[in-house]
Amino acid sequence: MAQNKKLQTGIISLAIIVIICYMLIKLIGVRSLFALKMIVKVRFPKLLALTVSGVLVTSASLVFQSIVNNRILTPSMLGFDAIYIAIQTIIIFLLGSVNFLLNPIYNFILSTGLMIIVTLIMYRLVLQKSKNNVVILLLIGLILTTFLNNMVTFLQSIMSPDEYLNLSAGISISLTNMNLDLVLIALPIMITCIVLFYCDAKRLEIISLGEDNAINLGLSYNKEVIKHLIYIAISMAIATALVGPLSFLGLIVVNLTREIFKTNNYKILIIFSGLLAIIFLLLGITILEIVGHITTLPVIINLIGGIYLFYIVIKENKI
Amino acid sequence: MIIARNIYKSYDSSTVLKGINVQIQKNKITAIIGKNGVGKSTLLGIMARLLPMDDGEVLLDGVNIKNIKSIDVAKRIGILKQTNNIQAKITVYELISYGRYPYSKGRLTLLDKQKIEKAILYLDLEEVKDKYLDELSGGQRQRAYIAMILAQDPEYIFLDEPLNNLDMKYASQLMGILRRIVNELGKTVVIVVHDINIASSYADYVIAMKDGQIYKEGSNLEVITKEVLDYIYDYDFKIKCIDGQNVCLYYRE
Repeated sequence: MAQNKKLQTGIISLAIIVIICYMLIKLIGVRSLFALKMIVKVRFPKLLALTVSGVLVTSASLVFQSIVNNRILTPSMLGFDAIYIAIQTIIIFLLGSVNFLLNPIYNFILSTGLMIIVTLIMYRLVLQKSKNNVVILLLIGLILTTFLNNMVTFLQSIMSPDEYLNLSAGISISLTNMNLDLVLIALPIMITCIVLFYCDAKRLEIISLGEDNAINLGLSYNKEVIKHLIYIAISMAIATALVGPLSFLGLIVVNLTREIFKTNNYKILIIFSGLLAIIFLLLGITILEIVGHITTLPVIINLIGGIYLFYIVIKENKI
Repeated sequence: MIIARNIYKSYDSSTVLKGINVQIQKNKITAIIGKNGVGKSTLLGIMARLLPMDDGEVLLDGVNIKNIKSIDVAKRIGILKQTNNIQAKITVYELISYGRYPYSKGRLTLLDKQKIEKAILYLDLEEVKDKYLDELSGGQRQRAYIAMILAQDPEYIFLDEPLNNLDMKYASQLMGILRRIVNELGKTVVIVVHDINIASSYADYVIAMKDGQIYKEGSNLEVITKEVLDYIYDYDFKIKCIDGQNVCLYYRE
């Protein structure tokens, strides 16, 4: 316990240090007050966007793992990012000329709504039956991602140039090209989601005991799972809309948190996986800025995440 | 008393339960026996509202179980299925404390802690209570799960093949514990078992199932007979009476 307290303090301090470094790194050598203001003005929304997405992706992964009772699966691996991108593309393809969709906020609300519907359909068709069958879920994730990515490419190639222009603004979002228009709407949603997850921490622990045990303990299992899948869909939509797909980030951070704290206490897991996500993202970007952008952060995340996934699969020798 | 009336259940195309009528007597150990796939686990799951049924009703002291809030059912019926693949990193103590969720929703009171301690004592888990589940042997893990159900403190305890993975010593030890739970704490225990001799020596009441129906039910001396067993298992058994109990021999034809 005492050791846990030390770890907690350590992670909190590290997060604060990394945030300060991220905010200050560009200020080295800046003399004029104006330049200083400008940098902070650009830097701060980015900080918010990274925080919001990192925290949402990891908490969504955590909750998802509680539902499927497995620490290898994350929403990204089941194709949630790909679904969001595909929805964006289809919206523009079908309704590209409708003006109000060019407003990023309306577009975002519509996409998130569709994302929730798709998630619920997926629940009925796939998750309800085979949520404990990791191999099937991984396979479905793989097929879905490949299929949707190809569909997106296909739709892009038959789109009119105008539509394509609108679309590429929406889906070329990445860590180097963040969508900062949405930060202000995303921040309150993130806080709401995290508060909801946090208040449901005990229920999530019960869900992680599996369906039979959860019902035995009196939980309205289906209702709870559907509710949490809706939160997951919203979280993944926001994160993908702000900074693009983060694929392995959830896997790395959530497992790291589980390794460090060795607990099933979701209050601790939610808070510290969120902090670790912030540390991971900001530290990565700051280091890349110092060494001069030799590569992009998603590449590094996928590199580390891939190696880590190999490690888990080989170590546990089971999926 | 739990009464199941006219229960029907089918999966996809095959009908598993065909009009089951059964009563679970209070303060007894009831054993359900029958071949694999005959619907024993399904019946247990339906009586504890884990599974929906196609037709029929389950009455808990005269009230349809559908009309009782799930959280209130949890205070009266506890069920443990045979496969419990919990991957989460939890200690034995944490697992057992989840049994108090229906009462405390996670904030353990003094009473909760007493119930947990009692469950630990009953299942002899004192030495391993701070270990993680994945560090335990199969028998210890099984005892930990049962301790969770005991901490849940229901009147009815349903166990689906609780003796799986247990060697003879642990199996009879566990049955002895269940006997004590019934005698000392006044609980009602229903188990699905494959070992007929366990049913014969520990159960008060035996329900023999065949093809989704109940073929015969009654006291163990009435049900563990050559005629009943030969029919429900399609096999030629030898039954010997040892110390007033029917013991069944099924190896070496």
